Amino acid sequence: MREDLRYFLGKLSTLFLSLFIIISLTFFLMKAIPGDPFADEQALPTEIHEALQQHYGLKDPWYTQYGNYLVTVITWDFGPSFKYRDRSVNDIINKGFPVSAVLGLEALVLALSGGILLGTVAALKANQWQDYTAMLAATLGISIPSFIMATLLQFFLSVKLGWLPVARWGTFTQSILPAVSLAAMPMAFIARLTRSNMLEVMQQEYIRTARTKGLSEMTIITQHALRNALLPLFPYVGQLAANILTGSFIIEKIFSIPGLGQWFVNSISNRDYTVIMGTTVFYSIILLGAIFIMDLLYGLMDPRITQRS
Amino acid sequence: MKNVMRDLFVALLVGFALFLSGCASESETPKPEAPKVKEKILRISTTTDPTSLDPRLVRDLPTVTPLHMLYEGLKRATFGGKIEPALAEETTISPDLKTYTFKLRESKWSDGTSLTAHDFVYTWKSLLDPKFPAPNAYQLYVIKGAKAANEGNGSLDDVAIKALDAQTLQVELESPTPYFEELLATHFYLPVKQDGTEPNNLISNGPFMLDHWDRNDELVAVKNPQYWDVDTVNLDKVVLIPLDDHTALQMFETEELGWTGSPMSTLPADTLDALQSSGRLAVAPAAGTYFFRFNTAMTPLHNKKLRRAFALAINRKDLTQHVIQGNHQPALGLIPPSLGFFVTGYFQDDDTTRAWYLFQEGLEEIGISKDELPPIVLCYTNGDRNHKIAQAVQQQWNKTFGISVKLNACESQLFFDKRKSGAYQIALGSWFADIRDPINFLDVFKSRKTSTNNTGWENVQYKTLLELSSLEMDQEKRKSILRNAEGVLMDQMPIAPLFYSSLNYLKQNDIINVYLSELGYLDFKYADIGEIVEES
Repeated sequence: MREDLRYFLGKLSTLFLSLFIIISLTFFLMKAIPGDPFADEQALPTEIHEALQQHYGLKDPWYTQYGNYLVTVITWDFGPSFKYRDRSVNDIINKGFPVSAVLGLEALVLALSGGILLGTVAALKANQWQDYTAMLAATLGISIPSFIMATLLQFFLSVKLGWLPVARWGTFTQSILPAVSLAAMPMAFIARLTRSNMLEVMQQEYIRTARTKGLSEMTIITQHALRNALLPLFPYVGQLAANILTGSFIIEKIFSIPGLGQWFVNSISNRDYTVIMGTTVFYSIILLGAIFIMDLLYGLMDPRITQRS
Repeated sequence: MKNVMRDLFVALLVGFALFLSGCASESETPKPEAPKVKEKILRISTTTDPTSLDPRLVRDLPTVTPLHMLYEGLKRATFGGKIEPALAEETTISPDLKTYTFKLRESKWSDGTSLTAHDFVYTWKSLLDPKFPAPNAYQLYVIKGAKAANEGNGSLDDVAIKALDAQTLQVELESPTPYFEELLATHFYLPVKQDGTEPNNLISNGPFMLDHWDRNDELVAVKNPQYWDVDTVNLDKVVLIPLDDHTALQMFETEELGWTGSPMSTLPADTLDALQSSGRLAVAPAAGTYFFRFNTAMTPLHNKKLRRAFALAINRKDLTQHVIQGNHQPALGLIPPSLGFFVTGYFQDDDTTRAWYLFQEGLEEIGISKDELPPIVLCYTNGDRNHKIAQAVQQQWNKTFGISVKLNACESQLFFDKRKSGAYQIALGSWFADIRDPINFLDVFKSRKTSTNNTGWENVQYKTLLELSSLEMDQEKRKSILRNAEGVLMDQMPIAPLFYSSLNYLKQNDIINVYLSELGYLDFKYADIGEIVEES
């Protein structure tokens, strides 16, 4: 138990340290890139430009700005966006994240279930037609970028066949195409990973033991083989969950989904400082949180991990 | 613990099955068409979500359209660029042309309260308050005392905006301003109701009022029953939907959109040719010009002959017809013809012979040979079209002068930074008018210190002509002064004009009477959705 606790505390302190480093790095990197949020093709009069910078505290010395920034992170109040003046960063996160998360969850379930299923089937029927079909699908899934997948699906299923809505958000049918486009690549990856792990595990002594005990093939696979075969998935799934739940820039753009994904990219090109800070900090919390949880689960599933550290 | 894995596996399988059945069941049941009274709804795609619905804060062009939907000022611009009276029923101008007295018509805000001259006083003074972060405050600097108050050198009480009574507004100007009524029709001068600009509870006074605005999803405006001229308004609803350009085109094809493309979004460049040859593409002129800025504060482009050489060697016809799509017109001056002022070309397009001579003479004046010429760098912001323009001109200059020009594409904010600090030689730029008046273009380069100039160029004669023009109240004489000013600019060439911009868009056949302003916004006051006329 002591070792478990030390493992837990060790991971927890890493979490907070990483978070602090990310938060600080974000600030200094953001300040290091030239340009400011009020520059435009039609430049503002100098006095007005400076008054705006003054108003938003961009003329303060860097340590004041950094201090204020740390306060905003701790109080979780990032203030208004510089570009979209009448909405706050908190508002952007509160409204955008649920949308991205629902879509992400759908894609995640799809990727995990589809991937594990395909991978297992492929491994059990290794070098038979089922295996070849599944792996062909997986190879396609990995090599086709999500935006091409999305555009193809949109064109054939919506525009040509009229089966599904072209874009936008709100109903379940509208979520199908974006979820499939988002899930395709991780599903393919999970399928390949599961297949190779499964093949390896099936060769192990303890599987042979289980067979000699006379257990049914189904019991062997679900209770003995899968558990070990899926362990290597954990680190990947943590990262995948964080990425997919916080939204994808390109998928949200193509299907015009009012999620959080677009803000990550647009805020940087707009130099929308408060939004950059808010979304980056939020994303890192989700990412580190997901990795932390996966680490814990991993330790729980495989006691060797906690003992090693 | 053993069972956890199995349960997880089963749960995933169930999830997958549910997803598949979900797809199946939804697509099997066709949505019943609910019989209902036919509402006139116009759906339009936008590239970006409106930035704000408070006119005092808005700078970006795509947001101007919803502002003109929701609000109405003293004047309204309409078909042909005509300025018609809006809230100002009568306008009286004093003999010295500096005092404007507006008699306001009886009108109401969307919440039913009366709109008075005090609302205009409140709006404009709040805009000029130094504590209010208004990027457009300078558009009000024509008003007496406005600049001083905004820069903190004067009191807001001294700004010459007065409500004589509830229906009478008086404004005194710093000096006669021939384009003041044009300004009054822009979004910079729209009134807001105090405490009524919260997007969740927006109070406005235009032909439409806000129904709801789901950020990045849709903005829905409905006919405003309180609008003084509500009988003229035909549409029941206007919906703005932020969409990816390609997605918007596909939704237009499935008739989920009534309008896509300029000025609220951009049609994908790779589709323009096909749309044009099928005869569906609509094209309208924009009050916008693309040009190269020369950095005249740096050798070798401090030399006028070299600048002229570079400008004359550009083949604009080739550029607009073969290199970039979008029906843009070759520009041989700064002011676009769509403003209806000048049509003169100040030089010849693709005049490579004269360009070559000017190039040699320029080099001689600086006293260097062609090989000693410092490398010329052309700067522009990332983007497909900009890159095509730069490459084409790079080739044209290479062919005419035998020099190699370097291309430097940067991210937009970085580019603005370089331009502002003068860290460039030649930079691609554009100007889109705020008002339909040539002064709006000419003022861009008024003096070296003008923030929009960035070329380091200044000319006493040019500056004097611009100042003279604001004192001249005879329209024809004023035009000729401004034309002379443009002539000076085109002789000195701190910029090389490239092309006049066009607006390319698609609209469904049944949509009529939408006013598409050259300034880059849409006005739906008179818009209607008629019977669909089948073309056989």
